[in-house]
Amino acid sequence: MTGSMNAERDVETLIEGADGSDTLFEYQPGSSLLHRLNPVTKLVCSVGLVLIVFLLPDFRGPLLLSIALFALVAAAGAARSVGTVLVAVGAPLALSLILIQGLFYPENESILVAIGVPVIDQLVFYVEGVEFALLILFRLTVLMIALLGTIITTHPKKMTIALMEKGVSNKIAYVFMAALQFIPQMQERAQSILVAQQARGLDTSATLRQRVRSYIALMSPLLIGTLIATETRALALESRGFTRSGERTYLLEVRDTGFGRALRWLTALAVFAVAGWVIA
Amino acid sequence: MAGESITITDRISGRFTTLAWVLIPVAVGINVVGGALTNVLRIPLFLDSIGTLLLAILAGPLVAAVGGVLTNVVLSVVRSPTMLPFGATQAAIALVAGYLAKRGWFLIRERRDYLKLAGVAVAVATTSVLVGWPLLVWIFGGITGTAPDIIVGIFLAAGFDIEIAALGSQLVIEPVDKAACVVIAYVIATSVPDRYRPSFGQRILS
Repeated sequence: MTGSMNAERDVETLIEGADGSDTLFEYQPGSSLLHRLNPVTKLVCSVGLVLIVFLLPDFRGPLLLSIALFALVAAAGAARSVGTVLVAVGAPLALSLILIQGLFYPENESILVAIGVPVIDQLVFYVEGVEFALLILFRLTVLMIALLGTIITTHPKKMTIALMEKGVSNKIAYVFMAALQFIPQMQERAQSILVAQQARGLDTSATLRQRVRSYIALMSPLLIGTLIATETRALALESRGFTRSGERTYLLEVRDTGFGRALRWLTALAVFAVAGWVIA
Repeated sequence: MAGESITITDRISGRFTTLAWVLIPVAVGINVVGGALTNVLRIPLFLDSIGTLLLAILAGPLVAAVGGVLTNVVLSVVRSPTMLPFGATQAAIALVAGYLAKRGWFLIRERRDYLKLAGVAVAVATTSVLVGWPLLVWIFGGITGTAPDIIVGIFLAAGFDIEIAALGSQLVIEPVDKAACVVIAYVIATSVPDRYRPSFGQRILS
């Protein structure tokens, strides 16, 4: 796991190589309250908030929480990164939701607005559909801000250490870190295989059948290449005591404060309170 | 703190070898990179579970399930957190495909055996629909901001409920996509030279 600093830079190259719809996570160093919280506390609070908004039956609660969360994330200096992802993912989602649910939601009754359009006379947006669309949209907004806020204010390495200290297996931590590092590497490899196969006459604009064949011609060497490397990797890990059990010490120290513990309990309590309130 | 007692994740993962652990990130990489390559080759499918299926063939159901869940965890980090819930679909696919692999459904010796592969494709597609459908309805209300929304919209416009509309869009897309994934994963897995196949895969394919 030596390449955690590398991983950050590499994920950028990954995104550059991919199409425009991809957005990027990026750890932003800082010293705000969010940065100093224990990563596990952030995860627990995020999950709690997501549960709460999925329990709430009306869009206003999730809307308020979205605004509050965004303010919190902005205070941690992550407004731009979170905002970019929110717009890139949220905008098509919002458009799709309001258009489809606003027009066709099965329980539509009261007309919100009718827009005159040529050809089909008029488009009628209904209150029920738009409210449903907003409910789903703000639920997902809370999910996105909470998780992105956690990711952006937490160094991946700290996250894995905090999880291991809470009893998550070091192997799970390894696969998470390794996967994050692997993707840019494999993306690079796939690029060079693509170029190599194009030099051998691979046509990316042939018939669909041909292109599926090309897909296999690209993926096979990619897989075989990585499989060869995995054997070496397994031996390297084994020689560093990967499968040994026993006490471990960590280079990085992740602190857990009483405040964090209180916050976690508070989140759990809030989830139950909301659940009770919604059911009653 | 950790290490003194045996944790839950330790107990689940105790049976995995180091090689299995190393294979999991490979599957995640294949899933993510494979999904991106469909854009380069303009293939109108997602093909985002090939890595999971490959792992199911080469390393067994449990390893593949971990790889499947992790794929969506990683995707929610590098792309969008809205991908997270569909990790459940990946895990279910992995378990089904891995179980069928253990039962020898990927072992093709004669022409007739291709029916088994078709059977796997049907099973995987069905699983994907059965797990993905409720997630699509409960979490997203049917709309995810991607191309299949159009199909959901058409169904809703025709007067169907959200449940039916979501099922409809899943039935239009998933069978083709997952069947293609199964076939492609099989072809790629068999193209791996025997000596580089993990031992599970060696037993499954030969």
